[in-house]
Amino acid sequence: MAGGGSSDGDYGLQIAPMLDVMFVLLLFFMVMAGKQVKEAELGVQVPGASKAVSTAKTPVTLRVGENGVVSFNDSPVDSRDDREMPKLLAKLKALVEASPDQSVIIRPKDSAPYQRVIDVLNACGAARVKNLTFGG
Amino acid sequence: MSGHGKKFSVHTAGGEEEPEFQVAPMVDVLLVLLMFFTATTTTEIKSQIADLTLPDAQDAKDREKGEGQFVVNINRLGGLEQAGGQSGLTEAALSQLIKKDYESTRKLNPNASYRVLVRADKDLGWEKTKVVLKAAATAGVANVVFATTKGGKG
Repeated sequence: MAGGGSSDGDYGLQIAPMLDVMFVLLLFFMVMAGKQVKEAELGVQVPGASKAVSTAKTPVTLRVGENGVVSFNDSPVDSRDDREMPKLLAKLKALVEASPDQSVIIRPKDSAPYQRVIDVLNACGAARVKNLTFGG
Repeated sequence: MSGHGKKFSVHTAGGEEEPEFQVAPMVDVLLVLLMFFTATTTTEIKSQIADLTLPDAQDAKDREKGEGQFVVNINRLGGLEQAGGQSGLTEAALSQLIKKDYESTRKLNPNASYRVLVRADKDLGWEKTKVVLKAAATAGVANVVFATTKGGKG
């Protein structure tokens, strides 16, 4: 027979190389599974279309400047390069703890970087801000 | 890896009998594991568009499959397009399209949830996304979600 074997018909299947290949493939897919990028989402209610709800408390305004500087009620928070925004997150968490229905308005400048606006939205999501909207 | 043969031969407790190593079940298990990891790496990976890189947000929620959804892509050059539809849309045209789609969804199921999904390039300015928000508001859709990516840091 092609492929050879001993005279008594035993093929002598080479398990070791086969297992080697399978383990390499397994390792490859295990590593790739950890590195995959998934598409996710961040939601918000558009103010123009939703029913006008008056909030008793003064809303917090988060402004995003054209250079990516974020300000919390007109006082700048976190540096431009800080993607995680720990100070903003801490402030928002404290606000939500004190009053869970605290409204937050994000007012980005037209030329504000989109990634920075998403960073702010991400911080609001992490702080579990329920009442979130965009302002002009 | 090359020592499998020797390792198995350790268990031969003398005698003339060949050790009975069951290859088939082991290969079965390995193949199942391989299939599992192959399947999980190919599902739910973000849909790629050549001229669009989504922003990154690690705390974003996993994507939901709502009943009604209008997907707007904003490419690197700022062009608006309906996913799988028209491109080069203006605010008014986009608003009309959203409204039409929203109404047709509501006709089928008046209680259906409906949302506008914005897939904008991360290097754009906010003004392009604002156009979509305005169009959605004009069309009467309050629920707007922003597509992001997460993961990939492992």
